[in-house]
Amino acid sequence: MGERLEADVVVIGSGPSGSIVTHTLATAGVDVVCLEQGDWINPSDFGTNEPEWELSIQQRWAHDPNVRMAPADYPVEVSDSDMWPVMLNAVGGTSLFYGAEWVRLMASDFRLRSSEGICDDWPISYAELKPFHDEVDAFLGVAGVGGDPAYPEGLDYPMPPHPIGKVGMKAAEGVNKLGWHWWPGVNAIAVNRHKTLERCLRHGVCEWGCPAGAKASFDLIYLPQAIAAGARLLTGARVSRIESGPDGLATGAHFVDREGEENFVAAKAVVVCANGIGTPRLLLLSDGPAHPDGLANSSGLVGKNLMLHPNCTVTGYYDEDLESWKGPVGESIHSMEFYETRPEHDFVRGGKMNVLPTPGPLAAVEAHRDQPFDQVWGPAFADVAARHRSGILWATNTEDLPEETNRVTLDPTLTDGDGVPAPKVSYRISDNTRRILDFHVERMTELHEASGASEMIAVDVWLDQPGHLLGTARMGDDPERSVVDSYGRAHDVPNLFVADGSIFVTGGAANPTSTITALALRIAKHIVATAAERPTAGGVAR
Amino acid sequence: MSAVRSLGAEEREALVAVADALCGGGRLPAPSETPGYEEWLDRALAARADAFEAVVATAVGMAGLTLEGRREALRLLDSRDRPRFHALSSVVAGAWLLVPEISDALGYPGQVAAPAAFDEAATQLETGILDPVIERGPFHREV
Repeated sequence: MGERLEADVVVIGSGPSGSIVTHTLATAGVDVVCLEQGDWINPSDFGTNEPEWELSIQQRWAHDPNVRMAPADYPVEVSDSDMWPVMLNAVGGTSLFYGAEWVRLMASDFRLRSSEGICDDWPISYAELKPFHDEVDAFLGVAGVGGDPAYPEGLDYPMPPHPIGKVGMKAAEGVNKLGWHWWPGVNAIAVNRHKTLERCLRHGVCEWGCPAGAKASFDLIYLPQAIAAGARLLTGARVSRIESGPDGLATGAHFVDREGEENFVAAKAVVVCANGIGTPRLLLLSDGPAHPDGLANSSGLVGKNLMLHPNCTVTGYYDEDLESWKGPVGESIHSMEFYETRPEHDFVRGGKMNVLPTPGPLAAVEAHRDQPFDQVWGPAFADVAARHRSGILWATNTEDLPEETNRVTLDPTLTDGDGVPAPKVSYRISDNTRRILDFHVERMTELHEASGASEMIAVDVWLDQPGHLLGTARMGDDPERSVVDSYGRAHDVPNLFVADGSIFVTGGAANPTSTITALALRIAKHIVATAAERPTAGGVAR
Repeated sequence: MSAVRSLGAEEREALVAVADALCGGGRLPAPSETPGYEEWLDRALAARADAFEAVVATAVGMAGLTLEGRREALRLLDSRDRPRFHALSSVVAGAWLLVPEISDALGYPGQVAAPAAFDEAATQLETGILDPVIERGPFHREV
């Protein structure tokens, strides 16, 4: 047995939600320890600093932990899944690899049962969440254009937008011809130097690690401020179990350090921010006499209702130079035209379409790999690679509805490097989602045609890109139909909170990190405000 | 990043020959005719150290074939063993794309710093391109 630490609150995971919770608690004077199984990654260490970055992202800096297999990673069993989730285990979590597309859910997303008779309503509304969105946006310096007519009045951003670039201008021309909605991209990427973020230099490699330190990954913003406020961050700390006492209350977290020693942080409250795969894994690992089916799992819903936002894309190539190597990536523009359910569709809900540039000549080759051999290789190769300057990627996040059969469980045999059981993901793309995907491939093809593309390459579904890990510890007012309440507090364990994407009731089709962080801020403020009245396990409170 | 090990002369020759089959014959010099290609090949192999031995072995297995024979063997590999072809082609063709003479010819400046001018975003939007969306008015669904 290694060290025993004590804290008021232990936060598990240092990604976007964990960083915001840690910061909010620390600045309120709470003694908080944040446990992160990964390490710090300096922006100068990313593969994107090197010319061969397009090769290093295939393995060492790959998004898929099963490909990357870094020491901090845990394996994810995906043989029963149509898609394989991606994540990064590092300080700041997967935000080091996200595109920082900072779009909010629509107000309708919170009311699907009331308005459409499907799924469940969220226990909070967009209006209730909006102040927390605004506060996070201000802290991060989110860049965008206010007044998007797809949202209720009052949505604005603290920073001016990034240029939409030649890529965005060309794409927008096509959208305008079709008379559809579009709006300049909203990105948590600093247009100008902001707090601990540097100015964006448009390297175009945002999703593989920003070498400039401009993208709002949470190792660069929120977490530094949290540490300055007194939070303790322990890296290389892999949590293996949340402990609970005879009364069922959480008493703290066990973690294995780099030397393989098991340590324990005793705390009055535990906040789990380990993402939609890691959080249910940990709750299921933390069973005990008071929680025989896993911690906070009297509903049986821990791990269920996994949503992954299946993506489809159509890459268009044009006969003009669009400077498609230039970032950010990040969204250039987005369209909510087909976000909502429409009576004429053969599916419910829809998708969020967005435009990205296509940096790198090897990326152009990758896009063409399914073309006939002689159209890619040999004499054709240089011309295929040269198309990198003239590409536009239209991509769609689709809304996959919650289904209990899409789930995270514990694999009976696979373990991580410390012998802790690995998560097993079972996920099938539903017929409804397939129809949304097919529909959007057709619409994105129309968009490219309207913009004058000379070549189009569609991908019906990106199997290896779902980084949106949602729904596996859902919120709700009814303890039989949800795991946590609207403040992320477990119905079964009043001093246990979940504050990541696991608590989404439905997934919407917007990139989720903006909503995750607004929820995390709301939860953290509630934890501070209710500290005095919250029960704590006997003998643990300091 | 350093390579897994140094390449032998025959291995290097085999890899360059595969690169010629994958990248040559077009408007630019083939890898074997491109100065500096072999240095970039080493860097590409180091970047895919996980695939080093498989890539080298596959290329060596094609040694002695004519250019057309290699191209046919690669076509077969692409159809029968996609992961192996992906690794081989990414490394040897990706190395060629890294040679400055080639990337220049393809118009690729690298992922270089290209900060935006302070008025670039505003200038784009001032073209009126967003006007049709604004004129359409509120678009959100009331709930």
